[in-house]
Amino acid sequence: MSSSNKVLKVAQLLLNQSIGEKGRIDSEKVSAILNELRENPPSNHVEILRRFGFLVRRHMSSYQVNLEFKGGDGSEITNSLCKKNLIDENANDVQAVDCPSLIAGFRVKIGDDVYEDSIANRLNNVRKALL
Amino acid sequence: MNSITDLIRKEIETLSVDASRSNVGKVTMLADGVARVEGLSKVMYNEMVEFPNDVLGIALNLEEDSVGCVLLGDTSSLKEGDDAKTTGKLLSVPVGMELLGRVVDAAGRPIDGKGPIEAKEEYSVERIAPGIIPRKSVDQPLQTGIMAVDSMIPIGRGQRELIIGDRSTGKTTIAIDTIINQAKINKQGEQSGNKDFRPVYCIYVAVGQKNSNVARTIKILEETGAMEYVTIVSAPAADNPANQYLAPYAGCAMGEWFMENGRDALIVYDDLSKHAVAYRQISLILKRPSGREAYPGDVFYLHSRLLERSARLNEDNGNGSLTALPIIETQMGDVSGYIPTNVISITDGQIFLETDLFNKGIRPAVSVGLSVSRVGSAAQIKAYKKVAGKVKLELAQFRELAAFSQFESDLDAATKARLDRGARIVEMFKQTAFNPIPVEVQTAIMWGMQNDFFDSIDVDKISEAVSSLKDYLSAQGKEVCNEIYQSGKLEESTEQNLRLALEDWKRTFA
Ligand SMILES: Nc1ncnc2c1ncn2[C@@H]1O[C@H](COP(=O)(O)OP(=O)(O)OP(=O)(O)O)[C@@H](O)[C@H]1O
Ligand SMILES: [Mg+2]
Repeated sequence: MSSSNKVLKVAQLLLNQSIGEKGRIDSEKVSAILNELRENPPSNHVEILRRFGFLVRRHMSSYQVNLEFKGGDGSEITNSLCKKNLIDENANDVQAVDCPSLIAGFRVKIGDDVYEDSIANRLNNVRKALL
Repeated sequence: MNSITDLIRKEIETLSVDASRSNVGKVTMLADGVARVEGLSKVMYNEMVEFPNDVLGIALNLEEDSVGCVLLGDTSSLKEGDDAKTTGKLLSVPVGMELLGRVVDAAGRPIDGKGPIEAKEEYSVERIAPGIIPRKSVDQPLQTGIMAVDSMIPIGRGQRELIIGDRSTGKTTIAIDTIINQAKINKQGEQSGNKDFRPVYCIYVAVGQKNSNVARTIKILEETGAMEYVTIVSAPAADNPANQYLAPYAGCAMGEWFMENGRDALIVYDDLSKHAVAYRQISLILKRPSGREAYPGDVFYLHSRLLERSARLNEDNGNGSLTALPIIETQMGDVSGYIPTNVISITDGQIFLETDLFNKGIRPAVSVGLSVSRVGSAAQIKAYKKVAGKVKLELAQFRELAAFSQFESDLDAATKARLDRGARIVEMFKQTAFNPIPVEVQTAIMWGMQNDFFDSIDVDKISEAVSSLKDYLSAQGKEVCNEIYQSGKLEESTEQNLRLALEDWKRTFA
């Protein structure tokens, strides 16, 4: 196995170890892993850490919700998501920001998926169709 | 995966039917028309990706953490950190009759200033080649109007014939001649009112050429009245490598529309060496592993998936065809280079042009020994086959004998006769650029050669004699040519008329 393959594999294993309840990254587990690595540094220590950092970031972004809204629609969405217990505001999973540039409507980003229904987006589509 | 986020996703999708869904990423690297994007985890291979300021890209490299995109159009406004967004669409170009007479870029946008193209259909530029079942073997001729080619290296509709040679040996000229000849035949066929007549529409793809060369080609096609049957797809040297990479596929999609709608089309790729170089440039920037001559490992697939899309379809599939004339430039006549050998192995034969012959004034500089057509002879019309059958052998024998006879002073009569005939055939095949000869006239000229009408004429007068005979055949000898054109055969009565016509001409010429 080449060394870069090894790095990928080890980092993936470390990520699996860092996941706690509800599939979230557990910060205590992460710091335990970091301590362990510091005490018994493996070869390719830096590369493994770099890759691990990337994987953690990517994993966290897959359940972090970025909500941008303007007008009533935005809060409606947060409420409806919270009411159904789909997201948990205390866990800081939802970041809601008021975004005037949408004109009206909302844009939700989870991981690298984006759902958007806003006047700004519709106007942009009209512009493209006319171009 | 994460079941909770999946639930959220579902919930949002049901919240609003109008919500548009896309997948996004961030640009982490930009270089020479290529962007590396982090994110875009759901992008498809070859999907169009949208960047700010309406710049479009195509996802070519799908890696675990990032996506490599080639960028189309002006990329100077992009910077690292910009957002990129999937569109859910593959790159497609307008297709149809509306494109005839137009000059477009690799994305099918008009660049001739003649206004928008009102095409009703679009085809994706990357499409799967027809399989074995819908195909049919080549059995209809595609006449180039070049005597040396039509007689010795005949091309059929649906064939892929490579034009290969060093720089400036007349490669483009052969392709343009063929296009002009199709336009001539189309006009003749449309006038004849024959319901079964099948015109051939042409697509000329210019990759990596100088703008001045493309302009010259357009001018020639316009002057000869061929432009109304031609679409030109232009990705000149000044264009970015992504456009040069895509142009042949875009042109091919336009050609496939004709094929799939039961029509015949011809496509010229001028040239695939520059296409491979553009692809190499993209691949090196994308950090793909490089192999022989620094080309990436899939450069064979680059050309095979393109040329496989040319085919002849059977009756159940509309009987259409797409004939391809790819062009490859060699260095110092070396056909064993990486790209030349690849494309030779994909095509159904090659027209090899030699610098030596070109410089000696034997133009078109077709090498008899190295040129071959593996399928086309099945497609020659009967009359033509009858007169052209022996020519290739005679010429090959001549080349061999000529090499030996340099050392020999007294030759026997048979050898001398062969040498004389060979020298006259070489002269007969000389043909100026952009001057294709209709097949019935070619038949008559070659019939004259086979029946000794040129034997009494000095070798250095043969060119003159051939052009005088051509003039005769398009005036007084029109009837017998028409006979050949209509029947496609050389019956005894036709041969008799031909003999009378040629005797008449010989009197005026001598
Ligand atoms: N049959 C011919 N008779 C006379 N001149 C010719 C003939 N064929 C080509 N030429 C001339 O030779 C020159 C080169 O021809 P052409 O551009 O077709 O070559 P090419 O191989 O395509 O060159 P390049 O490598 O630059 O693409 C042109 O000036 C053309 O007019
Ligand atoms: Mg050329």
